[in-house]
Order: sequence, then structure tokens, then C-alpha cells
Amino acid sequence: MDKNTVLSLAPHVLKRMEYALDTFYLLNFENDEIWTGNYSSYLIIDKLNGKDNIDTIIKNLIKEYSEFSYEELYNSAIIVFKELSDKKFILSDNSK
Amino acid sequence: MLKKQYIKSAFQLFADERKKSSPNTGLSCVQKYKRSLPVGFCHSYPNTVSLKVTADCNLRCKHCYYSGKPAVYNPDNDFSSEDIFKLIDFLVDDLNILSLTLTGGEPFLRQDFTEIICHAKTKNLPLVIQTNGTILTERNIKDLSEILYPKTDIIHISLDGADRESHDSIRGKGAFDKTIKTIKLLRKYNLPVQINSTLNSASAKNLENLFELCDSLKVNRLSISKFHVCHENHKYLDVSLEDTIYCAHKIHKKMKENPHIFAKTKIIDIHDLLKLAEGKKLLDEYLEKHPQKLHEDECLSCHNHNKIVISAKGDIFLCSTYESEDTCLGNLRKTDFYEIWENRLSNPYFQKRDLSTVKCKDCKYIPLCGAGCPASAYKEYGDINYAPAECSYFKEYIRGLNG
Repeated sequence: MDKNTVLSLAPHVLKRMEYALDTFYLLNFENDEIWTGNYSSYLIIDKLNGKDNIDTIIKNLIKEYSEFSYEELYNSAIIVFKELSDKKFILSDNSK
Repeated sequence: MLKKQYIKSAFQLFADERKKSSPNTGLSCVQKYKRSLPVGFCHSYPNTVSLKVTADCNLRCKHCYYSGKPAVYNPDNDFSSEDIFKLIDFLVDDLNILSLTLTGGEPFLRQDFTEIICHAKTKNLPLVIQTNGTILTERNIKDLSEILYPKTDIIHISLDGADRESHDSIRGKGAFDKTIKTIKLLRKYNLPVQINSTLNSASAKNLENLFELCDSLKVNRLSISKFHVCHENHKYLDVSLEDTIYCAHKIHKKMKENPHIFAKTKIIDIHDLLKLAEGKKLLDEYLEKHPQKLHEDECLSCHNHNKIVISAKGDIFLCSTYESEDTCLGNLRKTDFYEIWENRLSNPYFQKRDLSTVKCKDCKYIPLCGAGCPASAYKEYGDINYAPAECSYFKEYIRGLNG
């Protein structure tokens, strides 16, 4: 997985943000696994559209959150993406 | 005179249904999500939506909420295809809902219903489709088999009783045969089906035969609820307490004989049992053996605010049992959803209730009923802090308090 990787949510995975609890849930209906994160993870996972690569997603995030540098956002996001990819919540495509 | 044995097995049915919602292993992701929430948690936004795609229906069932109001079936105010697609996009992308029920009226009356289902499935949304099963063609069913995902989607078919006579007496001549034919076709294409039935005066005599019917149709999910009388014209469909207990006894026996059928029942509740000395005795013994923590019932609508119903003309309700002008939270065509949602607590029926301030807070049975439905209490007493209308024990309890 690198900056050129295109990510999308795996089929039968749904998002749910509970703002009052600052908790973000991903529910995988294929294996009944659940993943929980916070609002920041919601912001980045919400941008996964199967079209933009990680580089584009981070650059778009910087426009909204200019207090963070590209490297800071990339380094935080890639950890989450790798975990979610290992747990089969997201799919990666390096061919795009 | 009711035999003690009937009351005992009716009570067991009540107790078993409680166990079904207690923690166990092998939880689905939705159950895990729900269990991770604090008790009584009021959701940021609803996660379950029931969308009535049309007001139109090909049947005029005697027990319908809208029976006697022909104007309600008028589909002129139904959402257009484009509007429904946009609404589904909003529900999935903005509210992140977890489940969508598509219902009506009869949803298959819409020519674009397959496209609506298709659109929802492009978003991977788990679907429940509710139909009377009388107008589906094999073509519809073949399409559904290609669109739906058996693990998350299900088709609910209404069947009022286990035989032609009971069903047709409510839904009209010929309805039973058409529905059975549809269920057979759905199963032929391996589509998951749940039969939804009600206990009413027409179906009571042989409702337990639904288990054999399920077996013969290769359906392994069954839901049986007691018919809720909400209209003067429906009173003849009400079932006496004695008959309810006897039916609960028969259903409980069938459930034990047919563990391969996942049956969910809402036939008997604590208010029925409290009307009988033997029922009260069994509840007392149960509470002694299984001390319960005091918490609100897990009602999707009243307590947790995690379900909404959107009518065909865009009205939003928190509860499908209480759909009227005074329980309507707003209309999506006139008001932005977020504004409607933020203002939902201004509706007196759906205030958040604090169990430490309800009138029956010291009642020993409150751990079992969670003070019941606040909307029902408001409708009966004009105050959500009273017991629900169904609780006949409430008056006895208040008399006891007053010495």
C-alpha cells in the first residue's frame, strides 16, 4: 500500500458515525466483524470512493484541515488503512 | 377457567423471548454495535429506516391501519423515482443508516420498485422488503434473486393465519393462494423469506399450524405478534386474555418441537400475565430467581430514537404504531431532515424519559417492563411518566401507594 493505492470500502461493509459518542463504526456483514474508530477515522474513511488514490485523498483533506501537514495526515491515515485492509474492511487496488 | 399449565407455558414463552435479547456468543455486527452503546442512548441519527414507497395497495385488508379511509391509499403524493433515489443516497451517505425496510402500501405496485431495490443495493444497504406477496411475478422474483444478498436481505410476507379461510377472511378471496404461490417461487430462487403473522380472532383457532406451513414452504423464519387494536372497526379481531394464553401455550409447544424454525413472538406480555393471579405468582418467582437490573425496554423508537418511519408522502414518524398528525415529526418535502430531527424532542410523545421519576418507579415489576411504552402512556394519561395504557396493574399499584 502506498500513495498511489486506490481504496474502497469492501462489499457489505457499512459506516455508522455516532457523533454524540465520538465513535465511528464499520460493520462487516460478510463476517460479522465490527471495527470502531473516532471522528478522524470517519473523515478519512468517508473519502474512500474507489477512484481517488491515497495521495489525492490526503491532499483534499489538507484543504479542510490546514493545521496538519501532508506527512502528519499521511502517516496517521496509512496506519488505519493498513489495519482495515488486513481486517478486510477495505479493498486496495494498485492498478489505477 | 384457564388451566395452570397453559399459563405456565405462556409465561415460559414470555421468559424465552426475554432470553433471546440477552447477551450471548456469536453476535452479528449489528448486535455488537448495539451492545456497545450505553443503555438508553439517544442516537445522533436513526440507523434503521422504514420507507413507505407507495400509499397504494391492491388489497383492502380489514385489519389495516387505514381501513375505512380510502383516500389514504391514494398514490398521487408518492415520491418520484428520482426523489426516492436521492432520499436513499441521503440516508446512506449522510445518515449512514444500517438497515432499510421498503414497504407500502404494496411496494410491488410501483413499476420502478426493482430499480429502487437495485439502487439501495448499489450502496450495500441491508434490506427488508415487506409485501403481501399477491402481485409478484416470476420475473420480479428472478430479478430479486440477482440483486439481493441472502445474508443481509430478507423478504417479509404477511400471512394472517395458517389456512385459506383465516387469511382470506381478512385479506379477501384468493389472497392466500397467491401469497403461497409467491412464497414457493421465492424459495425456488433461494431467496430468504420471513412469514409475518398476527394473532387475531380470525387466525387464533389454528395459528400454531404456521409451523407446519413454514416447513412445507421451506421457510425457516416466522414472526407472530398479537394484533394491536387501534381502530373501533377492528375490535372484533381482538383476542380475549384466555384465548391469548391458550394460543401462547400452543405456540410455545410448537416452538420447542421446531427449533429449526427461528420464531420470534410478541403474543404475551407482562401486562397480560399481571392480570392473572397465577401469572403474577410466576412473575414473582421469576424475579426472585433472576434479579433484574432496572433499565428501559429496548424499543427502537421511543427509548433509543434509532428508527424512523417515512410515509409515502414524506411524513416522518418515530414509531409505526403511532402514526397520526400529533405524532408526526415533520414532512421531508417541507422541512430539512436535520431540522426535523433536532426538533423531535419537542413532540410530547417522544420525550426522553428518566426512569427515576416515573410514577411507577418503585413497582417491583418495573425491571421486567422498563415502565413500558411512553407514547402509550402519553396517549392514555397525557404524561409519559405514567404507565402505558396496557398496564392494568398500574391502578392497583397506585391504590397501594395511597394506602
